[in-house]
Amino acid sequence: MGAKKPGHQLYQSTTSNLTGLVTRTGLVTRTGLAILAATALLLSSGCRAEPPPPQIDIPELLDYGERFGGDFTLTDQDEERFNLSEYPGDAFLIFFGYTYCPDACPLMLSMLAAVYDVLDLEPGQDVRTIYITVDPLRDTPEQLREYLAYFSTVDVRGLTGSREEIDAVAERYGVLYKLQEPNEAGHYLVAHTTTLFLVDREGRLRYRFHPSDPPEYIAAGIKLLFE
Amino acid sequence: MVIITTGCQPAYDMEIDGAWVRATPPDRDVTGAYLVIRNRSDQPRELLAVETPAAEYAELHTMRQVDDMMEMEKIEGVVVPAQGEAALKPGGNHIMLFGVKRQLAEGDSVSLTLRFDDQSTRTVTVEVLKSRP
Repeated sequence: MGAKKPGHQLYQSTTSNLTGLVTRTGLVTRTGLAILAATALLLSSGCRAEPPPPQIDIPELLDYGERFGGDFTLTDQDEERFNLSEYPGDAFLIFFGYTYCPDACPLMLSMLAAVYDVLDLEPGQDVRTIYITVDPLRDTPEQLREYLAYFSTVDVRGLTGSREEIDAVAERYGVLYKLQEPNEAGHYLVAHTTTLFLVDREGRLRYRFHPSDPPEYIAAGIKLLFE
Repeated sequence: MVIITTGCQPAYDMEIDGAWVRATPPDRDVTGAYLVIRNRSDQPRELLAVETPAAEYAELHTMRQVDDMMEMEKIEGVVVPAQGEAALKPGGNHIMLFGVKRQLAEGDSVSLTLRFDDQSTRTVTVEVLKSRP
């Protein structure tokens, strides 16, 4: 049926320390079953006048092993220390950005709102959205709080820390960033990786979404974590 | 595309549609402006510059993927093909406003003047929104 989009395509331009990470997991079988079930449904609908429901692509989740992804401790917008393991059983969407980001970051926040619009979770299935700054010099907890209150229509936990803390998390998630030349007023832009990371209920990195992936595709990936 | 000749000339060769400017959070003076340009003429046109009283200056930018990073880069122009269109949108080619003079809140409007390579200009009044419509 060709519905699956292999996750390793996202790896085309990653750094050398991430190459060779892609391994298949038992979830492939599970995805395959889901597709079989979807096919069966389509077949049983026969030749009615109604068009079949639109086909939703399902990501093939990956196992990135112990070396990549995983837990970290940073400071949130309310100046509380935060780590993933405080929320056992919850899944996470994690992305990196900075609050002076004029284009890509507000776009990611609107995209996340669209994901939550189509994400149909049952009670007790919780997904937390984490935004980690790559510009801790300017992005204090207060700046994060103001920015997220302004732009985000979904509940996003904004995280900052020392440069060393941020760099350690960025490295574990394969995130690159580069401060660009400041203008006359001293303002600078930051080039950065715009991947959206899916972390499962055990805190393991399971997928790297591209920000232009359809919201339905991302939502389908999240749902797999609760099957 | 099928063009139906109605017998009346369009008011402009270059039509601007779906224009909006992103609202600015407190203490931020950089933002993006987005729109679709339709070229009704038989000549390709290039958008070369944008001017606005709302900011110190405006530039045309694109987003580029470099070493797995998204990087914003200034570009010299955006070509609008003959009888075609060019979309300036988040994550792609877009207009950047630098030195925004006062905070732009949702519901405000901003005047943008687009200057093309044939020296023609179009001025449009653009709605301020927090996210794309």
